[in-house]
Amino acid sequence: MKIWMKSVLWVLSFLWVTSAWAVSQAEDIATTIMLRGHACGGKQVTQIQQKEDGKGNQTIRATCPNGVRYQIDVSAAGQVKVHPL
Amino acid sequence: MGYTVGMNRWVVCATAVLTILVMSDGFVLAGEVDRSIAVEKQVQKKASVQNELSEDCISISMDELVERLKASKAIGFFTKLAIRSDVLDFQAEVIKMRKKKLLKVQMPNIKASFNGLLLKIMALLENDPDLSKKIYSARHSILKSLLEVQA
Repeated sequence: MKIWMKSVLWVLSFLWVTSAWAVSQAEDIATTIMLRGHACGGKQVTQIQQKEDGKGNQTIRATCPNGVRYQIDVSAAGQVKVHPL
Repeated sequence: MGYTVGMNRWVVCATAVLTILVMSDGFVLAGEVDRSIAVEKQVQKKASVQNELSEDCISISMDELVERLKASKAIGFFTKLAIRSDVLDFQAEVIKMRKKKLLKVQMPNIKASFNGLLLKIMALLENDPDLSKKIYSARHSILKSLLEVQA
């Protein structure tokens, strides 16, 4: 095998390993919901909707594997609040 | 003056007494050496424990821990914000207790709450064992700094 092919494969494998380690947004939101004391029933959420107002406040809506849809409010100051819809 | 049998006995006795004295001195010296070695070992053990403790204290600062937590890829952005919110809630609880002058009375509950928070963070940092270990080693200083926060 040529050297450049070997190096490309090495870089690709490295990228695959690092991406496998990073957390996906679906996992991140599910963890946040559970961390704030709500049941989610799994490690990943689905149907993620994200909005941001002009003041920097974010609203995320997502559905957990247990069927409950949650709203996560992230204030501009970084305070996180979770409530079921 | 001739060398009599009585004198011979005296010489033998004196030699025996001297031998016993020398031997007992030897035993005492040996005992002292053993004792000093044991004391040295204890001192070395204490010093190594103190070194380990001081290494923990030196190598971990709160700012460094916060930066490490921010940079960690083991947890996502919103999870980090949620941890921050949990810590802020804990601080608010401590401030509330202090205002009511119930901090000392409620200390077991506060410590239990802190341990729960620590456990959550440790579980989340499963993929970053180095940071998890550092946070665990610094748990006393983290609690101390959280309790020192004024309103």
